Formats: sequence, structure tokens, C-alpha cells
Amino acid sequence: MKLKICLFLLFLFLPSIAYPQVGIDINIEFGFNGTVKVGRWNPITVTIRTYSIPFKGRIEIEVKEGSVILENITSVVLKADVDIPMYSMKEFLFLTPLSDMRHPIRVSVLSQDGRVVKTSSYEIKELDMRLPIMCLIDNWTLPYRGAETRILTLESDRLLDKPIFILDPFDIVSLSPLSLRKLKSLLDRWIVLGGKVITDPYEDISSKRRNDTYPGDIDISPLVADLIKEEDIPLPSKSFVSLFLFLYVLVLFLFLYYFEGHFLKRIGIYLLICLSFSYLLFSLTSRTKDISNVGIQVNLIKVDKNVPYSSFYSGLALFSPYNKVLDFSYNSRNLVFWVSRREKRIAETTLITEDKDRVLAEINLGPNELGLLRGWGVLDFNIKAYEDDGVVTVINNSLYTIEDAYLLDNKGYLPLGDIKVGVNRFKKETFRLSRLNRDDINGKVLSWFINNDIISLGDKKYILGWTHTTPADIEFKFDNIKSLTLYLLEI
Amino acid sequence: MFTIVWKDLESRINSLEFTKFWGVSLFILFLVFVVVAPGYQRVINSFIPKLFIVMAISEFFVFLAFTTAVTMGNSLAGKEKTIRDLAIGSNFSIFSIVFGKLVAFFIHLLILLASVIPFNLLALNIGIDGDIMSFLSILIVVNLSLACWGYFISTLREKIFPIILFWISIIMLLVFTARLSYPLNLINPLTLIYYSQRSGLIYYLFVGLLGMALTFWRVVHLRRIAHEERSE
Repeated sequence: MKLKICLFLLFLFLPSIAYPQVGIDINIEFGFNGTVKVGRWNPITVTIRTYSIPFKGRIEIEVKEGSVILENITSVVLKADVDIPMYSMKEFLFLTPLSDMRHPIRVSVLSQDGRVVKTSSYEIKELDMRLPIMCLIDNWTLPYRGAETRILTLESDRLLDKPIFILDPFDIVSLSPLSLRKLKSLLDRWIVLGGKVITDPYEDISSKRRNDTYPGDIDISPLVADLIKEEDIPLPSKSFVSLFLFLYVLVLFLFLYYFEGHFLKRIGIYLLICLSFSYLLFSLTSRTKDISNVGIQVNLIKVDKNVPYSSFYSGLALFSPYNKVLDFSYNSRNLVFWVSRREKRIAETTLITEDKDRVLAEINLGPNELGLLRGWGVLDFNIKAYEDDGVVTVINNSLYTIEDAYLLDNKGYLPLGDIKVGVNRFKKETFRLSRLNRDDINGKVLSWFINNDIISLGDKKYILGWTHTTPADIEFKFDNIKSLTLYLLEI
Repeated sequence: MFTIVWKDLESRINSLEFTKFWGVSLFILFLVFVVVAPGYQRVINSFIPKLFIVMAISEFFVFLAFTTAVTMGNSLAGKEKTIRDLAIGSNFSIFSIVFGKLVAFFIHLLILLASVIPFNLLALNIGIDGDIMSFLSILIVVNLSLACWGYFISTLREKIFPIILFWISIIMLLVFTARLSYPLNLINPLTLIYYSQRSGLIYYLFVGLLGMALTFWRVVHLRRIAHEERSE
């Protein structure tokens, strides 16, 4: 009997031996031990560990900014799909600009069917800004770096044996996903050491430093918000639709009034007219919602003559009178987009990490929701210009022909024509000063840059020109968008 | 009953007065569409998103006028016999008279609904999404229940005061009760439909059943009077 009981108990415990753990462990690390550097990019790390079953789902992080009273709340959702096999662990890093302490940040892990597996809300607690913070390593975080970011390497624990290096308190925080755990332990030790970061000075790669734009000194989103015209939305002609409808009413009335016959015959023809016109009107207007949106993107590429890359700034405004979602994707290695919060009723935006290089942005437009985003980054764009004995030489090593170029100096505007790929030489004597046409869209954009001191007309000389194609790092998945890029090259 | 349905439909479809009435109604709907449809005005804050709702409300009132016009008497179809005429001057059963009239009304309503489909489809395509099936179900239920009351009122044709009183109470119910605070505004059937479509439609069903019961009662009463007069 005892043996049977023992066997029975053993049988009961058997599944727990065979399947030691079922389910998943989710660990969310918000900022640095729950505190963040306000106004800068902060890391939010979600670690998922699976056991005997794989996990498929997604991670969502909702960031809200703005004031309820001023009705300028913006909402950005960061999303990433999760697909982890059993007995694995994966770490997901989201770099998130956190600047508004009024709204908590919600981090959720959802299963494939949309069920919430874990959700946490975090109040933003500001990190002691007197303390210097760690640094970043990986190249893919380029657009997320702050101005004058110090780039240090923290590749191994041997760093702790090296001389002390103190970071500036306003250095941006960005972490390599690979070294995040290592970095955290370093950070803990660093705090114990009184806020000093220890690194290897020989591995300092600050020579590769690129100036960055966040929080950004140039925000083009107010310009595009002004430039977007609702009248440009392709809607079916009101006259055409109205005339067609009038024709329908007229035909129906005339038929009922003048046609004499059996009443069943009258009903039959009447229904035929109704259904025919219904079909015609429906088919004529069925694509209205699909195509009814308008967008404008203004980019500024500031070319630094000393380095083979350029600062990129972008403003993007999208509008549709209907509830619809517009998508575009961008190369997140080189640039990043975030919602602008200067206007009322800004459309909710979802940024979906497709892979390490690509982010898909989904903008939920509605009748009173304007999609407004600002972008920035660094693009590889090599163009040089110099002036020698009244000859301006422009070496265009990019892939684009720059149209309607001007030479700007304190005297005025010298129209140069197009700057083609290769070496372009312009004799200043052969060009006459001209007035800037401020009525067309190019003139309006240029005037805005001048009025906002982004282009300062003084001692500096510039060459500026335009392209009307979308930069290669951005791909719009809808039509009816006007893209305008201003190239600004200081001589 | 079939004879009543047949004759009713025949007289209404062949009626020039009714053709004029419906032509004017469709023209009004066309004007509403021209005013609220997108095109020349700015898109933001325009009626584009609300186009379906605006058209639906307009159609609701057009069909309300239709229900009133065809159930309150025979003003739009000269050859049409009213319930009162049939109760007093025919040998049809009471059931056939009431249900025949209601079935004829229902079929006529469906025929007329076909003529507003182009407006609805345009509003669906050009405005934001609307629930066309919900709208049609509400329209049919509301008009059927009001038709029951209209037929009841048509049996009282000899007295103008109850007719006026009836329509004043309808207007009070549909317009003024909507301005009451919650939950008193739920007295208004349209508000109730707005909050809960199912509750609102059940409300209308009971309103309609009450109207139908009263119509039956009046027809029975009229038939009895007619018999008494004949026997005298």
C-alpha cells in the first residue's frame, strides 16, 4: 500500500520534473535605476526569458508629452515584435527621449493575440544632473547622440584598471545593447566611485565624433505645418458628383412622372435606375479615402566642408480629412523621427522597429489630426566648394544633381544654375545678382530659414540648391507627398 | 389582405401627387448633399466627416414626412382607401385591413429606400465611415412604429384636434425631450437609440405595438358602428 502511495505521489511530481518551468520572465529596466536624464534619450530595456514554450508577441512603450489644458498632448508608441524560441533570453533596447515629467511612461508586453502579459507604468524621476553619465559605443545610435557627445569605449572589465576620465554632465546617455548589462554593473561601481567614469583613453574614438541634433537647434516642423494645404487633397470634383446626383434625381423624377404602364413595371424600372446610379456613383468615388491625403516634407542638409557627411534636418506634415494610417520607413542608423509638439491636435504616431536599421512610422490621421514630425540625423553626403580668384568650384560627390543653385554672400544672390555630379566651376563675373523669388515654395522655405537665422546672411558665403526627390534613407509608402530638400554648403 | 396591399401600392405608385412629393424630397436631399459635401470649403471643420450623419438625419426627416403623408389620410393618392374607408365601407376582415395597410406601407418604404441608396453610398465614400445597416434598421423600425400611430390617427379623421395634438406630442417627444438632462433625455427614442441601439429599437417596437393595438381597437369600433348604421 505504501509503495502504491509513493508511486502515486511520484507520478504527481513527474510533470514538474519533466517541465520544470512554463511561461516567461519579463524584466523591464527603466532609465537608470528608475531615473532618467530629462530632455535626452534614455534607455528602456525589456528582457524576456522563455522556458519550455516559445513566446511570440510585441513590446509597446507609450510616451506622452504636452499639456491637457493647452490641448497639445502628443502620443508616440514605440513597438517591436518579439519572437523568442524556448529556453532563450533576448534583450530589447528602446532609446526614448523623455522630457515631460507630467505623464507616466507605460511599458507593455503583449502576446500575439493582443493579451497583455505584463504592463508597468513609470513616473519620470529626474536623475541628478550633476552626475556625469555613461556613454555610448555602437554606431547605430548615431542619430540619438547629443551635441558634443563624448564617445568612449567600454568593451571590457579591464576598464576599471585604467585612469579616470570624467564626463561632462550634459553628455547624452546611450547604450549599446550588447554591453548594456556590463554597463549597468559599471554604472553601479561608477556611482560608488563618486560619479567618475573610468575608461580606456587609448580606445577613445572621439575623432569619429559627429555633431548631432537632439534636442536639435533646427526644427522645421512649424514651417511644414504652415505650408501644408488642405486644398491639395485630391477629392472628387464636387461639381461632377453634384451634377451626376442631379441627373439621377431628374431621371428618376421624369421617369415616374411621364412613364405610364403597369405599376409593377414602373417599380421594376425605378429599381433599375436606383441601383444603376448607386453602382456608378459608388464605383466613381470608391477610392476617395485611399488617395485623399496630402503631405509635405522639407529637408535641410547642411554640408560641412571639413567632413564627408552632413547634418540632416527634416520637417514632415501629413493630413487627411479621414481616419486613416499613413506609413513611411526610415534608416534608423542615420536618422530618427519624433513627433513635434508645437501644434494642437497632433496625430498619434507609432514607431515600429522592423530591424536594427529600419523603423516604420505609422501616423494615425483623422479629420482634426495633423501628422507632424521632426527628423534629424547625419547623412553621408560629400560635396565641397571653394572660391579661388573669382571662380567658385563645387565638387559634387553625391548622387544628386542640385537644382537652382545660388551663391549667397553679403551682396546678394548669384544664380549658378544646376550643380551636376562631378566638378562644377562657376565664374562669378559671368553671373548677375538677382532677387529671390519669395512667392514660390522654394522662396518661402528659404525666407523661413533666413528669418529664423538658420541661414545667416553676413560674412559667411553659402551655396544653396534644391532637390525634389525624397532622400534615399526615407521611403514613403503613400502618394501625394511633396518632398523638398535644401542643400546648404558653406564656402 | 393581398388585395389591400396590391391596391394600395398601385394607387400610390401611379399617383402623380406622390411622384411630385417624392421628387421634391429627393431634390431636398440633393441640396443637402451639395451644401455639406466637400469641395470648395476648407476641409478641416467642414462637414466631410459628418456627411453620412447629415445625410442620414435628412433622410430620417424625409421619411418621417413620407410616413405622415401616407398614413394620415389619402391626400397623396386619390384612389387609395384609408383604414377608415375600409373599416366602414368594405367587407375585409379587421386583421386584413390593419396588416394589409402595414404591409403595403412596409413594401412602399423599402421601394423608396432604394432611391436614397446613391446618397448613402456617396456619403459613405466621401465622408467618414457610417453604419448603413444600422441606419436602415433604425429608419425602418421608427417609421413602422410611427406608421402604426399614423393609421390610428387616420381613423380619427373627423376630428382635427386629436391630429394636431398627436403631432405636437410627437414633436415634443423628438425635439424637446432631447434637451433634458440624463437620464430624463432617454424618454426621447432617438437619444435612447444613440445610447443603446437595441434598447431604443425595443422602445420603438413597443410604441408601434401600442399604436397597432389602438388601431385595431378603433377599426373594431368603426366596424361595429358601421354595422349598427347599416342595420338601422
